[in-house]
Amino acid sequence: MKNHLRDHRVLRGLSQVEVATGLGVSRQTVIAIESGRYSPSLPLAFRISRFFGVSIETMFDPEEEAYS
Amino acid sequence: MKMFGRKRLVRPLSVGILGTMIAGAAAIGSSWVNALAVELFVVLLVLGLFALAGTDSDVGAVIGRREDERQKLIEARALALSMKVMYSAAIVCAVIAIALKDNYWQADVIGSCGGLAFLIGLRIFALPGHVDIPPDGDSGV
Repeated sequence: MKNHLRDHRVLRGLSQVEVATGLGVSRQTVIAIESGRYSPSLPLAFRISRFFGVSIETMFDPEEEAYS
Repeated sequence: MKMFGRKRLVRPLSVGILGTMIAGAAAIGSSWVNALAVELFVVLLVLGLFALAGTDSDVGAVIGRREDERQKLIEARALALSMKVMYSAAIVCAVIAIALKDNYWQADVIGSCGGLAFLIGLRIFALPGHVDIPPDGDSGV
């Protein structure tokens, strides 16, 4: 599942550590999500969307595979 | 992320306690020299695990017991792999023991416990088979 986490993070000038701390996950998990190697659970996906103040559809695109 | 909490001690201490039990068994059934050698290895292992638990990595998070959801998945996969390998090794040992007409009851214990734990795991984690599904076959999902 493709996501726009990196785009939103860079847009807000946040580091991966800051996002990880805000979401309560590890820096490695933020890296894995950004690179498309890990699709977060639904609760974490909602947390990510709320953290950036966007809808879940804006953050995640289920129609597109990260590695297609 | 906090890397120096009490949780960091749990796995190294668990390994230390189990290893010391093996060293104690070696002292009773073998010799003090062997027991000391085992204990020395255990101390080094505990120190290594404690150091690893403090690292900012997936392995450090798993050993330090501060995993997030992805790291818990990694731990579960690694644990499943280790159990499959352990179970296969126990079966190979049992086959060799039977072929050599040797008595290797440990393989029986490991095999029985592993098989039973698997069935219990299925009972705990799987959905029951009698979930009601509407007559038209639409489960509503």
